[in-house]
Amino acid sequence: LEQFKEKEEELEEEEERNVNLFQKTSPSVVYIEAIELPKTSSGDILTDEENGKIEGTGSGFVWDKLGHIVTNYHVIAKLATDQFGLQRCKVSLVDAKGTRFSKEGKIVGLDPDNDLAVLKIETEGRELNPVVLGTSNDLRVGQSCFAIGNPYGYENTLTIGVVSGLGREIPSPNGKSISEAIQTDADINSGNSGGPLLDSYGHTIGVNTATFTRKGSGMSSGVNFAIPIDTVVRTVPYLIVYGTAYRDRF
Amino acid sequence: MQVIASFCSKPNENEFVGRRQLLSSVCSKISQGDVVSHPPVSSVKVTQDWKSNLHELAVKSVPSTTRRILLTSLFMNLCFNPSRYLSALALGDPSVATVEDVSPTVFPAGPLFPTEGRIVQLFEKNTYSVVNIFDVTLRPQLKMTGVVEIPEGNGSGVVWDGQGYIVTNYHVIGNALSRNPSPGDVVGRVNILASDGVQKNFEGKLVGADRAKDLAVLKVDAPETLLKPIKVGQSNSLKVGQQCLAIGNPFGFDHTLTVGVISGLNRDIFSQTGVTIGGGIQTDAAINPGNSGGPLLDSKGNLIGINTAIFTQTGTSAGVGFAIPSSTVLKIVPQLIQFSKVLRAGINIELAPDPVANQLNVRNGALVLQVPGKSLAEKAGLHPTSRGFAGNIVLGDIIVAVDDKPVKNKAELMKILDEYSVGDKVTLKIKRGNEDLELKISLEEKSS
Repeated sequence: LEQFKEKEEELEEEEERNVNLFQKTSPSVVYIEAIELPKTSSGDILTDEENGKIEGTGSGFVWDKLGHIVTNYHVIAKLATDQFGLQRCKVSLVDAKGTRFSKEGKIVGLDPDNDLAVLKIETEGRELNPVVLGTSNDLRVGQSCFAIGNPYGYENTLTIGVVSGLGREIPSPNGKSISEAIQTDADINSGNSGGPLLDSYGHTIGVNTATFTRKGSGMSSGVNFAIPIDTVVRTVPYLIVYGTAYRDRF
Repeated sequence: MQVIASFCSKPNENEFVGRRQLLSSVCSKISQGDVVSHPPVSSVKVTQDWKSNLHELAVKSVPSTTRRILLTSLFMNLCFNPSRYLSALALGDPSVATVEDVSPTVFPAGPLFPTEGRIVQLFEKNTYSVVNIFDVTLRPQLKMTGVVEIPEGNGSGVVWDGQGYIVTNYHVIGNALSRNPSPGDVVGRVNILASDGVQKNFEGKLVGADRAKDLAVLKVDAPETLLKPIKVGQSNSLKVGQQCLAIGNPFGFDHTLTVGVISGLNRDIFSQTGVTIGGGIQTDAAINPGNSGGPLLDSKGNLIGINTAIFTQTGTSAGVGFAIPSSTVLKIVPQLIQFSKVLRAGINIELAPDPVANQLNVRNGALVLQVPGKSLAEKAGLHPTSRGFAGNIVLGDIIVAVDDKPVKNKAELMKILDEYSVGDKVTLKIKRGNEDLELKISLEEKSS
């Protein structure tokens, strides 16, 4: 009975930890909507929103207090390859006071090789909640991980799993390969893309990117992948300053 | 400015200084972290250094060009943000000056919590007992589109003992088995993970296969140091809600760990071999194609089942996976190793198929149609169905229970007898006309 009680306490502790983790980290996660404006548009996304067609949704996270948002390239690929100037993307998030607001996200940097993109929103004096960055080189298979995102548009969804494998190679949107990817069985569905993968301390260890499916349904198969945060930490500052990854600068 | 300073302190050794090389060398310095370690320099001094160093460099590397042209061209190029020429869309953020301004602190990982530490240890201990198995008759095929298609017959297996016996699903090597190989024939390729993280490839020779329980045993000639046998546990005391771990090779991602709980017990598994296996363990740990033949472990690291099937509409995990219980595995595998086949206990009589039994108004129990002469069943006194003098049908014995376990139909009788071994004595409860009788009979090997 003693042992049983101990186990129960352990479970309760874990539950509480998970709840705290979600409450602490979910304000750093943003909701990204790719919107196509009608041809007769004034060009302002926030006023013309009703007329716009939502082309896709994804997730992202706050990188710093300056308003830089990191997401997957494939989430904003339509905007990145826009030829008619009608693509917009709307970023919804909460500030440090807990007020929800939406802003247009402008592309700052793109790295299709690693399926990464950086957007910027005008903060207008609001204080943002950047993520806490961790490392991905010391992960171990079996440790818990947490994905927060907006699967199928359901905002701020938490899914929990374990690290299933490390050092995987997955294809990137332009046909190259992303190495050292993290495999997890935390459910990652379409719409989770671009959101953070966290460890039990709430440190970001990856950017949720892909799930392995047969029919392209975007439904999680329990074999899901995230870009390792070490790659992100190496790449994103260059994306912000130069607009492209270091190796693509010329 | 610091960027330039760091560059100047180490002049480029290249013969020709192009804009590309110059800038890339600046950047490589940044990435090496030189900038950070550099002491802060006043801006005036930097400009001076920069000019004089660049001057030196220019003279040294391109002697034929006049200094002025070279200096101006370099200066002009440096003034512009280089990416501005190349990407029309992603311009970077002009309000951010340096890479350091947008490189937040990275926090080191903390120690693992006890619950996750346990799983990490379980995985690290048991992953070497899990092997990847490829059907030899199926080869990865390069398609016209350039996509490599991994064949379905790509599964997992477990190391059974130190002698090199490997247990997997029948359907993992089903294509090779459909060619009727004899024991000793190579039917699969087995990849064993060595402790240094390298996979070693071995030929998997057939030892025995049992289609009825979707199990097969292969043998590899691997050194004993490579073979880390799995610990087999009991599956009959499992409880729904218990944690379980699956290790396997889904979609070819080797040694994938998925964790879940036991969702249900005593399920009928509809296996890919076309048979129904009773006593299945249901789990929500993600099981996908390629997980087949791999172990399902309990939270102590004991094998409680062999992952075999999933319920799905997309071909991938939907959170409903099934494993053959270890109690079945423990019964089948030693027989496959010893006899290359499974001796299934039974009574060699012919039973009426369900539709026939229904026609004859037998709703409860298994109706005996024929009893072969001089068989154990005849000696025990079982009566077959026969025709009377008037051509009317005289029903044979109806088996309604085995050792007090009720029998409703033919399939149920088979399932109950499956639990026994050859030579076991059982008591059959039968209905003969209006009589209720009990007969003792010893079970023999079922001829199928």
